[in-house]
Amino acid sequence: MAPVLYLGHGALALAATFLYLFATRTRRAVRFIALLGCALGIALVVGADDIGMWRTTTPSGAPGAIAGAAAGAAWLIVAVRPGAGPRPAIVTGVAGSALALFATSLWIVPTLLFGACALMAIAALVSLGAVRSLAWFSVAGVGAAIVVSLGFAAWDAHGWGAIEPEGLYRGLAYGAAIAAAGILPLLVWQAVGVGSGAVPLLAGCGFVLLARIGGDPDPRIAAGLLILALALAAGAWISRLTIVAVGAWSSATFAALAFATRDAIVITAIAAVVAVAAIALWPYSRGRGRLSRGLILSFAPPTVAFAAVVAAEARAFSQATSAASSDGAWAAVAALLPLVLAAGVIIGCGAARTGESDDFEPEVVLGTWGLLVAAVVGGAFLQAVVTVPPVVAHTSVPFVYPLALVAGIVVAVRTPSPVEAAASTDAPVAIGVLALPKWLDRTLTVVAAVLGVGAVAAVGWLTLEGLSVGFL
Amino acid sequence: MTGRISIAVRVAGIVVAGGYLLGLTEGPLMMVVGGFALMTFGRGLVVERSHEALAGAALAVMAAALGVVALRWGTFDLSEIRGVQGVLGPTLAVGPEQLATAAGAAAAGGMAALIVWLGEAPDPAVDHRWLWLFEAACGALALVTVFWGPAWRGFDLVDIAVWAAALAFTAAFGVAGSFLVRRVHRGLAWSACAAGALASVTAAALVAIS
Repeated sequence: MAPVLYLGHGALALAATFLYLFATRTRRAVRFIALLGCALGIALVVGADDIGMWRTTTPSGAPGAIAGAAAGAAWLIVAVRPGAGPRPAIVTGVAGSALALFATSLWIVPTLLFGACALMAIAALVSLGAVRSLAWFSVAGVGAAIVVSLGFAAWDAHGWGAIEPEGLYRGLAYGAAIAAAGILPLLVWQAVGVGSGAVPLLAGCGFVLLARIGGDPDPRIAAGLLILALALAAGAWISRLTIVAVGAWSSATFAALAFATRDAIVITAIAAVVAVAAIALWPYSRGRGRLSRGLILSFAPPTVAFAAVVAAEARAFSQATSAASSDGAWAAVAALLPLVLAAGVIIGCGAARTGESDDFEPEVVLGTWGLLVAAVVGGAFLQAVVTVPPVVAHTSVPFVYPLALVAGIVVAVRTPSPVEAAASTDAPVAIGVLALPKWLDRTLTVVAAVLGVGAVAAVGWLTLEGLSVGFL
Repeated sequence: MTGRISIAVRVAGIVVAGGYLLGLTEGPLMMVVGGFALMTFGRGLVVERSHEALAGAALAVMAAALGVVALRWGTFDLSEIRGVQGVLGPTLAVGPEQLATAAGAAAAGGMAALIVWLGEAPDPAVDHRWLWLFEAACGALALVTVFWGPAWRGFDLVDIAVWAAALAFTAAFGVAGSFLVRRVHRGLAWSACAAGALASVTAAALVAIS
């Protein structure tokens, strides 16, 4: 099963390449391929814990499941926007397989090779958008940091196995993970458009890296990121919810949750990629599907995001009240999380109130509803297939949510003439792209190229060194 | 359509929060906050964004006030909080004095937040007063459950009557207060929310240093 789940995305990329080269009418075929890719991603989430060792991979449930979720979300974006032709499907397929193998590779050389391949594919996906320099810079920066933190840490340790980096290397790995999962989507959002699939893939890459390097939760980083997330939430609310601001808020929040508890990193990562995918689809729904988007962003139960918040709060609370722990940062995290939940409700309501227009894309609206289904099913049933902290089990008691759903529907249907929305819904959403001066645009492109070439050269050098000593 | 969805989400929130508060199922205190988050989200669909922002802020203060009790008893689990009060008595009345004072401050903060939260709902004078009253009852039940304790500590009619009186008083105070902040001035609602936040933070600090 492992070859299918890991390499299936690549096979779909080959099929899309065939379409690109030889077919003229590709819309339906691309959609079919993308839906298959989405199913493969979901299958990897469900089966990640049970996959055995295959070639250079090792059974590693959490990183594999996260890679599957990221690939599934990216494929969903391709499926609902097939008008862009086969190119996004080709690159998404390559990125999906490379990310899955980066997540599960046992040895450092294949890890770096697949990581570089995934990031190059993400960069190619970004290139399909209109504004690219910031996004290229983000991806190249993450790539360079991953190569140094993982590759040179292993080199210093005189080993070829993927090790847990320590000291400065760990700091750099944390930086790369936060950048990919948290802050840099702020920059990648600039490329939102044809290459929107890059956003969940890059976010997934950050969480995969965090799950791979292991270690204990870090309350100081979590508290810092939570404060940043609250500031971004305020910015998003003031800016009337531009895509860039909401995306950055969402990504920073989930990165903070991942640092607060590693036990729940899979559900946190899944919540993150679902949220960023919903935000990436936002501009094309033209305000439609707003309820589904609002619920996804609101952190309300029974979504998987709420389960992630509960897991983080439980961990922070138990550490803050533990006699053995005297770290005030845990108390700060426990105190900040209710604020984060409230910020989610406010932003979610704002997203659910955006103005509608008639020129929306129906498939995109359907895709957003699909993401809500994924968020709810993930919140209610994910504990059955992935390892979660015990407290999460209490967030999905079998009868409470169905009872709430039935009661809500019955009462809503039987209520005569309900109050309708306030007359002035918020304005249609804007992406909020930065207008960079030309010189800065060029400089960023050059820096991205230097970082990217440097990272690839370092991977090549490590590969040759490894081959010369026969590391396999 | 948005109006019906709003009602459905609010009712779902009442069922989720009520299910945990009434002890129909066990779980962490955050589940109650989650139910209130759903109610707030449902109301946010039909009110202006400034009302939604204030309701969200009140939700955070209410969550913080409830969290102080969890901090006081060192447990995040609602049934354990209920259980310890069943044995030792209401959180508000159990010493030492500093902790009881902290609980009182948190209860005051929670009450202020409940008043603001109720005041930011769609106008109950226009429609769906019953739904708003259910939300008020749910908010009062949350405060009474964590600050006063469970209704049932054994077959003691006086105990049950006192509990019911506490619930009725909290709900009535919340409803009356919300009418006041709705009618007087919007600045009053923001001030009440800020005062509630200050009380909750002070209470948490008192518990932490004791």
